[in-house]
Amino acid sequence: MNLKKRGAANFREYKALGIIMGLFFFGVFLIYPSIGKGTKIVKKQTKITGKEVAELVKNRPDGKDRRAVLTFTLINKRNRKRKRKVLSIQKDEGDDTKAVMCFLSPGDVKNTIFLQYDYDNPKKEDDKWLYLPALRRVKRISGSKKSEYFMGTDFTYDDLGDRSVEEDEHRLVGSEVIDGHDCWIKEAVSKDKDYMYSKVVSWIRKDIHVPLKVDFYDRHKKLLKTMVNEKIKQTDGFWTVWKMKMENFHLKHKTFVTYSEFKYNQGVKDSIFSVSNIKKGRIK
Amino acid sequence: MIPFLNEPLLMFLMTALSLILLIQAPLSAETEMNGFVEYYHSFKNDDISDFTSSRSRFKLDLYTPAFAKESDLFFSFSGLFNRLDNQESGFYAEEFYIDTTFKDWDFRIGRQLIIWGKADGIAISDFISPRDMTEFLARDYDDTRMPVTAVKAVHSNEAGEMELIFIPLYRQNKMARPGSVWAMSNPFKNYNIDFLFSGLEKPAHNLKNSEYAFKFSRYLEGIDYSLGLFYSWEDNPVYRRTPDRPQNRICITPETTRYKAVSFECAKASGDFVYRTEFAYQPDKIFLASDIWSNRVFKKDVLNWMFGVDWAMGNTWNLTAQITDKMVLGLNPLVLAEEHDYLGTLSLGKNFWNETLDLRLMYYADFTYDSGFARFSGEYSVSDSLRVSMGTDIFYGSKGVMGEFNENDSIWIKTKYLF
Repeated sequence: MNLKKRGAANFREYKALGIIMGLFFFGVFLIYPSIGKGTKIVKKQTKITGKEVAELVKNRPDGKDRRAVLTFTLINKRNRKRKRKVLSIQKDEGDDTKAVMCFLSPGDVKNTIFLQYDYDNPKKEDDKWLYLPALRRVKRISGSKKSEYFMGTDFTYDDLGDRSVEEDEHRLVGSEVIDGHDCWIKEAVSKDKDYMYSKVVSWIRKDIHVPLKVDFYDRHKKLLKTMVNEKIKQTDGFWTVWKMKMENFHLKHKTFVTYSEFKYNQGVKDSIFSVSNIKKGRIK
Repeated sequence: MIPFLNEPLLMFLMTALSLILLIQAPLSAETEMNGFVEYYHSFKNDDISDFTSSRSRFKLDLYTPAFAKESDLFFSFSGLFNRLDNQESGFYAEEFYIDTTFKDWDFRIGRQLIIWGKADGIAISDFISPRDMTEFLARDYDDTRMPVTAVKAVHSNEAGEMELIFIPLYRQNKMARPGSVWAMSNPFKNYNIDFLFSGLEKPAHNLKNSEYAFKFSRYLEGIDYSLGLFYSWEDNPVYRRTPDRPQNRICITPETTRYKAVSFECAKASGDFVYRTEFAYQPDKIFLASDIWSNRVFKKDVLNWMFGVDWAMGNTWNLTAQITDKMVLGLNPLVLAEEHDYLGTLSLGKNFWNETLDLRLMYYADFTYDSGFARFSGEYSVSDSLRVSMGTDIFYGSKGVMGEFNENDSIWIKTKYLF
């Protein structure tokens, strides 16, 4: 090939390359606005998991401390009522929670005080103390018996406490609208095979991450009891359950919990949550 | 320090001051009042007309803000009508104290119950408040403590809790009167000797004769422990002998002696169990001679210990078991004492119907003297305020403290209205 022909050939190659390059950059410039910061990247859609829902519920904002007055109304199958009025004060320390509960009435339990250090780590046993006014003494009590019923109510210590997400296997089983609220249906099965509930099914509001209804199944997989949060409203900017009902179908017994006072972020002192303090026999 | 102050005057001052404060203190929403009215009757198993105890009692506790900021006044008042012993009947100002705070210190000043120890139903290091033993175990153990006049200061921070106690007025155990079914038998009845008894001279009320206590406690993850020191007077006197052999006579002079002790108590939670232990070491406790004609006394060290366990069995069952011993160290046959005094306790209970019914078995076993006491009882909550209980008390053995009351097996019934 002579030089002239070679040059022409090279030119045609360069021209083709240039066209290709031009097309490339033209195409790049065309679609550039679609790339990078200004671009909406289309991700493949993923479903929320049961564990994520459980974490949403647990991590729902609830202030650094909480002070509440609540009344437990216990109703047996003969419709006999008993009431317990309690002052409850809680304070978060990271993922752990300290709580003190003082019974205000009736006379037989008045000034009985529970002090609890609730650790989020499931391997760490909670610390619990009980002040008994008749004995004028503080006793350390077992922190492991979370399945025991609290003071004759239908709530166990675990029901009232802050169960760790890691203690259960969580599974999202569906959605349902209850009372006009769109809810996730989440099933939780304890990793402890000896746990008193074979499973716990919760209907959780998608908008505010508060359970509306919870079914508890016993170890024979029969429905044992149902909890319904009957009144939920915003208080000091936090979604708060003001009334709940627990119905035990086996014992034909119900417990209503009604809050008459609920305050957040009062700057509760750490000294309230001490054995020295509950030994005085009163909580202010 | 307080040479003029004695019990009757103190009672009068307390009652008068409390009435003044009650009238003047604002009965605001912060004032709390609670108490109970109780009827208790017990009769012998084999003869329902033979009462071992019959009493009506009321108690009123009042908490009200005191005149000073961050201070509260507590007043506890009781009335007792004892059908079997009218001399015990009357009105009593039980506790009267002011709780106040100054900087990091909490003070409780006045007549108060002070309770130490981790043991249930027995006293190892619980030696500050004396006891009303007028009905022995027929009354609940925790109901037998008597308040003392004291200044208690408590300082707590992250390092622990420190408790300082000053007790200017000495108070002894209260024993059943002679003739009561709960009176201890005469230990000298089997001797063919004349015994002359002198009255008890109590220590004079002054600073030198006051009692002092100190305790340091820590409440940690899974474990609580405390160390205590106590400088006090024995709750029961030593009955010194002055023999007069030619006259076949012994003069008995009760004498109050000093009591010093170091204590350690600990409670550890583990799973369904709480393990408790307690030690009290008392140096130079005074003992009499085993020879009745000897006027010698001996000083021996005593170690009192307890191991116990609380088991939350589940399904509302609970079990508490304890073993204790009072060891006299370096004992020899000349000394009137047992080297060991082993005692075991057991409490088994269960509640039913959402805690409206509680059934319980309580058992004390004296292994040294092969005697004991058992109580089986049931308590039913008729309402939030009204409780009815029934039970039976069985004593067995012939020696030791419990064997003393072998003939007091009884059935009892109690109603209690709480407000």
